Amino acid sequence: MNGKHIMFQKMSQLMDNDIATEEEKNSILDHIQSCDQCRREYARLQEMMKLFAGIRKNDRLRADLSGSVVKEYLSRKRKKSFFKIMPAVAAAVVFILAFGLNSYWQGGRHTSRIASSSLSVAPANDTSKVVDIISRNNAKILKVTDLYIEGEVSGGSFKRLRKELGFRKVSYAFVRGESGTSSNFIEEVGTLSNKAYMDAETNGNPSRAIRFRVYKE
Amino acid sequence: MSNTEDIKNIEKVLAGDIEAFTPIIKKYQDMVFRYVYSKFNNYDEALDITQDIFIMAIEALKSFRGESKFSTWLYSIMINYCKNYRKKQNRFSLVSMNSSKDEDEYDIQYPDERERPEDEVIMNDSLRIMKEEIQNLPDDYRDILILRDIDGLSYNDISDTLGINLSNVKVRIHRGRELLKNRLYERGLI
Repeated sequence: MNGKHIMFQKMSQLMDNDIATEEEKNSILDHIQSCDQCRREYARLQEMMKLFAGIRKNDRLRADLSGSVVKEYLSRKRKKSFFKIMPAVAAAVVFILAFGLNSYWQGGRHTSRIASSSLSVAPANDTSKVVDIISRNNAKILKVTDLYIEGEVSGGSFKRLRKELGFRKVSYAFVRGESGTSSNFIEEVGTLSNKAYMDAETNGNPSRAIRFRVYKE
Repeated sequence: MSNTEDIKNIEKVLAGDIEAFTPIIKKYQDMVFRYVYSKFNNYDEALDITQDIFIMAIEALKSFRGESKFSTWLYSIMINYCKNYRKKQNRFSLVSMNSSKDEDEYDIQYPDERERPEDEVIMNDSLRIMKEEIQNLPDDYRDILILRDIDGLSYNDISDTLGINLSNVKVRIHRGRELLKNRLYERGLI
């Protein structure tokens, strides 16, 4: 108090119940009741505090944020993890690209060990498969070259043999008379083509021999 | 939920159970939102900022050592976030004014008054003027009045949160109230 009126700071302290003694508090309240000016000032302060309370009451979230916060946090965490491994991924990509380009540029001179080994193994495996198929169908192998395997089979067994050879390129010829000479090899047009022709030729004599060539891939 | 319960939940979060942060968000979201909304006066913006503050709190949780109450620690994050956000905002508005506006044009910050049925009930004219005047207060007074008279923090919590001594807290509260009261009186609100 300044002797006549109560200072605003004291009213504010009163509002916060922060007056040191009960005696002082009562003295302030007595003055406010008896002094019009201080009463009006105190009323204004109370009015302002009501407006604060109004804001406190009304400014509330209209939603529960907990779900969205957790979801957003996890999403950001995943993104951060992704960006953390990005340098490693980038390094891996660069390495793979560099390795690939190196192989590409050196392709004219030599193939990689992996590539060359697979090239040499594949035909060998297929050759052994073809030999198996030929053996299963009671055919004879007459010649093995770099380009094909030539053999001979009876007309009755050729159809089955041809079927088992499947996608492989095959040409064939009919063996004439006892001399064992063969007619010109007939090139198949597509897989298992000319079956009707072949059947017609051998129907009358299933033991008639057919010479065939199975070409390597 | 007491500070002890806060601490228990924090320990769970740090052990990997992120869902344990849910009760903490539920407990403090209104308090954080009120502070942010009072500062920026835009519901949607305040909503986004409130969410970001909680995310930042989760990310920084390892740095909480339990020396102060969790609420005090959270308020510190909230206040710093809002300060930085305002700085960024100011930088952005300077750039935009220089680059895309004519000299006679200037940005006016309108309060968020989009038509929502709830808003019409909630935002009566007195509260709108009150908020405007809170916005117009100097930073030192505005922040402390929001914490004290809107969020209801104790003198001690404010002292810890803002890192200023108790007597300074009291002085700022009383001076801030007096300044605000005078402005509201001049506008005929009280």
